[in-house]
Amino acid sequence: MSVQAGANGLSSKELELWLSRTFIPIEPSDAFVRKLRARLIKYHGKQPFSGWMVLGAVAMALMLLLTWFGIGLRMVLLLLSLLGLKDHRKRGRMSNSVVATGAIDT
Amino acid sequence: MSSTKDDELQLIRAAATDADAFGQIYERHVRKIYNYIYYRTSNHHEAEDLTARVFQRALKHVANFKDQGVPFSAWLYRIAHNLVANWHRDRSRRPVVPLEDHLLVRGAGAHPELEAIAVEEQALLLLAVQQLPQDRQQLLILKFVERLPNAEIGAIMGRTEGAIKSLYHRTLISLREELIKIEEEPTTE
Repeated sequence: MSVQAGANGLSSKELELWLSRTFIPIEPSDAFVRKLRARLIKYHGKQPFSGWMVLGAVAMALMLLLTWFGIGLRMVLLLLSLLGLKDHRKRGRMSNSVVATGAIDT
Repeated sequence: MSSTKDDELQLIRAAATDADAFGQIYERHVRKIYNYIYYRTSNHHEAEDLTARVFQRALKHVANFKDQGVPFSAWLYRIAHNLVANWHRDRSRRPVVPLEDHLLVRGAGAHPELEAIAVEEQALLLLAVQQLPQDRQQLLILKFVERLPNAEIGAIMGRTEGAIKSLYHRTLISLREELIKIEEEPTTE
């Protein structure tokens, strides 16, 4: 095969032969192949969160939020009940003194 | 044949979580992908950079790979093709470097004059190939560098085997036309 005569008279077979002689596989450098492999394996361990991990983290955060909300609600209820108790006692004491005062008058 | 395919599928599934499995896939395909990119960019440095990007993207999305009868290599070639197309678009240029390193290495032989002619002819052919549309360049590289059958080339390029045969026929015709055009161009010297 030679192209000295020009591409005009080139048959398909000759062109294919020329292509197969020109397009030969090239070897990348060993250093490149090794370095890239090491980089990919390192990157593999540091992959960003997977979908399941994100879902787990969101569920965990929600649980924590609900727990704190529950605790907060209990604290509020405790405070309210203490206030109610105090108020109840105060009212009890006042009604006792009214009853006592009424008894003296009569 | 089928067991080899099954093995590869198992390896691909494992690759999503297992670094060693991904390493094995990488070893199987890195040279092919490098070759493909090298002949599309005509530059060793760009070929290394883009090959690295192909495998980084593959690593990121390997868990999404679904077996639809298309070989895993076709999936990788498509990633490579998209990255090369972006590379050409970003730089708004066609590859013009006549693969000097490659040609020089091959030109070092016992008959320097004959070798020089061969190198010149190869450079001429590569220049003509680089004038072809991207899909035709892709077809020639897959056919002559990777020696892939038309069916597999079709799977990679998303066409039927018949369409590949027809495209190949038209590619040879336009390649011949490009060669004639180059020959007819007046030399600057």
